[in-house]
Amino acid sequence: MNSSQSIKSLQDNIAQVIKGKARVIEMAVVCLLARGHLLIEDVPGVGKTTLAHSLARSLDCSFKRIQFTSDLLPSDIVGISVFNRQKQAFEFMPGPLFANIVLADEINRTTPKTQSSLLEAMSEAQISVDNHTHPLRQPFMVIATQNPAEYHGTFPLPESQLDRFLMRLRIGYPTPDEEKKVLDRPPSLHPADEIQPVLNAQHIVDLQAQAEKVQMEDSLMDYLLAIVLATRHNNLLSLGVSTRGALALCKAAKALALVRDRTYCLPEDIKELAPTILSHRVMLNRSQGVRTKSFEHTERVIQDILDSVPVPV
Amino acid sequence: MRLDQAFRLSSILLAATSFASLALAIVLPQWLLTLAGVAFAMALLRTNHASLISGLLLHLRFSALTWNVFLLLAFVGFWIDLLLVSQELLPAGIHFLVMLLVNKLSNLDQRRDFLHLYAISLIALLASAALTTQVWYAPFFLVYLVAGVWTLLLYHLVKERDEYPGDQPTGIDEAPSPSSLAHITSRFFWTTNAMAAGAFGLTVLFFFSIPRIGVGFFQNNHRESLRTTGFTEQVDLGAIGPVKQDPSIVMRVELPDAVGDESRREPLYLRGVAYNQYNGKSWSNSLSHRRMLTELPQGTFTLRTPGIKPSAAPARGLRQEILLEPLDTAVLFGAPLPVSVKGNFLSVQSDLMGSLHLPFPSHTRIQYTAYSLPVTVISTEARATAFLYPEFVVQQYLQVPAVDARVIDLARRVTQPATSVSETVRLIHTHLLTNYRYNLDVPSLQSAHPLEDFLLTRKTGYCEHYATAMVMLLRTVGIPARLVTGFLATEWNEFGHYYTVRQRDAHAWVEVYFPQSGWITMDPTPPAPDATMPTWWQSASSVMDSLRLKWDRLFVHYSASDQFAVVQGIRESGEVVRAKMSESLTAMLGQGSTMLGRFMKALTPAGIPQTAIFLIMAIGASYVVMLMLRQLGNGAARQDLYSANQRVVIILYSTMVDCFAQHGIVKPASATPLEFLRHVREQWSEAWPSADALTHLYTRVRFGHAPLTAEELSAAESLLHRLRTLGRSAPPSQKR
Repeated sequence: MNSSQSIKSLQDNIAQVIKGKARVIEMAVVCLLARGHLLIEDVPGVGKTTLAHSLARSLDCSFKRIQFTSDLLPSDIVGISVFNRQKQAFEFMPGPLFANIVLADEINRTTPKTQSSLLEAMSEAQISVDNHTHPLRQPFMVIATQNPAEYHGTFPLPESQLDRFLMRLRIGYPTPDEEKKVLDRPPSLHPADEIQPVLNAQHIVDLQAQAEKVQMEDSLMDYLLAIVLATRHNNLLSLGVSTRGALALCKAAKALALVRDRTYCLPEDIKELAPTILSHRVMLNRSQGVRTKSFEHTERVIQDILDSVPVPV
Repeated sequence: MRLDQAFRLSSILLAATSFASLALAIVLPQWLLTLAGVAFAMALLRTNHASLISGLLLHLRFSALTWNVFLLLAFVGFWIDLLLVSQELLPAGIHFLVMLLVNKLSNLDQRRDFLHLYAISLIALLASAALTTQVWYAPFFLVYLVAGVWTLLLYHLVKERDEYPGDQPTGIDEAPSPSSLAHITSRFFWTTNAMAAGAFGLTVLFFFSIPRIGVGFFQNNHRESLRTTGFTEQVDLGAIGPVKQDPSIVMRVELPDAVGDESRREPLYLRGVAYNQYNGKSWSNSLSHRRMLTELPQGTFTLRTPGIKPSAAPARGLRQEILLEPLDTAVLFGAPLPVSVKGNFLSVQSDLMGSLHLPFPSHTRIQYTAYSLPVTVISTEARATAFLYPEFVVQQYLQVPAVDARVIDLARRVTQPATSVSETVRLIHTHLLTNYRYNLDVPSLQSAHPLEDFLLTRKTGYCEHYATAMVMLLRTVGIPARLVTGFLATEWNEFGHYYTVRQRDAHAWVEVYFPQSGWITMDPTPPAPDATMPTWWQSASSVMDSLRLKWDRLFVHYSASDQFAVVQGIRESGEVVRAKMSESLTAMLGQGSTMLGRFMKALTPAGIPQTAIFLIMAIGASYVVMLMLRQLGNGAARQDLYSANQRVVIILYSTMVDCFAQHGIVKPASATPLEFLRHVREQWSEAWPSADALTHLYTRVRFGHAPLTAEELSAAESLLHRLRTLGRSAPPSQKR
């Protein structure tokens, strides 16, 4: 099974569960192949958890789910050292983070202290507890969900944490036809339980390596940097895209090219991914009279920037 | 120096420059000059806050009412001046302007007063520009520019300080309060000067490059004509004498074709008018009837000379470029004998003795080219014992007034040994040269018989006496001759390569008639003793004069034809350079081997320093070559940014995009190839398949570095062709 076939089968597998959301599935796969972490932000009940679930189920690797609540502590997710009487020593009990795919459900419901315990794991794929560094498994991907509609008892993610997510996705409501298909299913079974794994961890690692080898033409690199630079000089934005953001866009564009069965990037790849990848990394100017984190607004600003940057011929 | 002080000083300098240029351009009344001078002095003293005088001056302020009354008086005075005194707007306006200047200088308190002062000084500078075309204006203008840049910068600094007093840096200890000149460094100073010079350079560039229409405004400026003597209908003997001290410049003569040592130019005769009748006291011209010369193309007027075709004359003659100052006479000058003149003249007249005249004296400086043919005695006539003169010549050129018998006697005695006519002429010539002394102090006009006085008793005189004597002696022995007045140019300007002809170069000499040869120029006057000037002064004045000439040529008289000439000159010199380049290249190849041989020879122990020099030169040259090669390499690398295939598909794709643009489907710069493809599909579905194939080929090769096969290329070309024909045969129906 070559790369394009395996990617296709992965997408098809998830599509059995998530109806009519081909683009969202594609983005999730891109995120996986770019070694990134995914933040899904939408109202409750549109399949955020189901998407994460079905992605994890489609892969033959470990999956843990953490329900983030306000009393969750860092040790609850990272793990804890416990004194072992037999051995007369402290023993590290790994937390749920020691899995290939971690679903951090309702991530904005926990305290910033706990949220930031994810930082090292997400950026370095390792965890330090009691002066010991524990590497995490590969592939490692955090899929976090959050609900933007509720504000009571939530802790908005700090900028540094947001920047560590490769992309922020919205799922959106399905069309009536697709919704009907969902209703048609027998309610006894969770849809994600039906599907079988199609790829294993090694497959994913290979695909990730392949995605890195996708070539990006020099002028496309310039195009990408021009977009990033434009966010830094836009007066609607008080905070532009960081270098990490530029790197994320580059990696994601390569992964998208692989997903679309190409060995090279196109301007499309960059332009299409830019709103998803950049919108949570910028901050709107407060003086513009809008709330800082408004999703639509930042995406629109990024879209305007894309419409002003010329594509290399 | 404090900021305020510097600002005031530069403002006063600005005003003073424009006032000085105004005062030089027009004669201002004494009292006005004094008033302005006092105002300047007071303003200058006030800038120095600490001194006693300025403290006194501070108390010596007039009230605002006094100044208002002063201005009112000045305004009334302006009308009186305009209507009764000078009766012209310009002088009256300038007087009023100076009054305003005085008022502003005495009341420099607020910032707007300074602005008013700048406006007044600008008007003054403009007024003086309109009044003069002299070269001294240039330095004033330059100083004004520099001072203007300083002043405006300082003005801005003062304004900033006054408006934002809190923004000043307060970190420095001893410091200087905001009003110090801390940030005015020498760099600031030089930058402002460079800016002013740059503005001046730009102005010069504009001046030369903006196309000219018609003639310059200043060209028609009226000037005082120089008063000359010796070129009227009748000239008293001794009239030239008084002007022999006058150094005013009459004309400048260039000899563009002349070759040879420039530092020792032969004196050049410039012929003006000839006279044939002498009545014992004055010369007159009985052949003054003038006829118009016919104009050949390009403004050339040629005298009809026997034996020479009019059109051929300029080619053979001595060419002189003459720049004639406005004179009170209409005579055109040229080396003997002028056969043709070329210039921007309406008409040129000549009399029967070969003098050239304009219809009326010119009030402006005129520039023309004269062509002259020197006349020499032909060999057959050199030994002839007697000539048979034509009737006309006998009538006109042998007239002798009633002279003393001793004069006739002298003529006979001098010419006794002569065997031929030319011998006779030579004997008289030598007699006058050797036996008489040049002296300007001759009370000639009182004398009743100036010629006899000169020849027999006093034996001293100047050119007119010598020439008159020679003509009379020749006529006495039966040889036709006439007197010629003009200039003898001796002052060669080495810097400008031209003769400077001054009023004091006015001269008179003789022309002797030989039937076959024509009129031969002879000068019996011995060279005048040199008026010795210190050499540095001489050279300084000649530099100044050539500068003045250049100013007139380049600025005052700069016209459309000059521009045309410049363009033509550039083109010609370009061709010359090209020719020389190829020539020197071949020469270099030949010299290469000899150079190498010489270099080897220099390697001997004796030539070690030379060798070192050679080595250093060689290293330098190879370094330069290396740098150039690297530059070329960079260029090549930049060229290789895209591979050949990429370039091809870029061209193909751009052609396709252009093709769609012609049908109204325009690709925005921010649209990606596939987005544009979708757009094409929505707008014009028939064209989509071709566009799809082309776009995919483009993206594959352009971004994926895929190889481009010949079949793919030809297929793409045929697709493009189909796109074009599709557009032509069936215009897109869905196109909006």
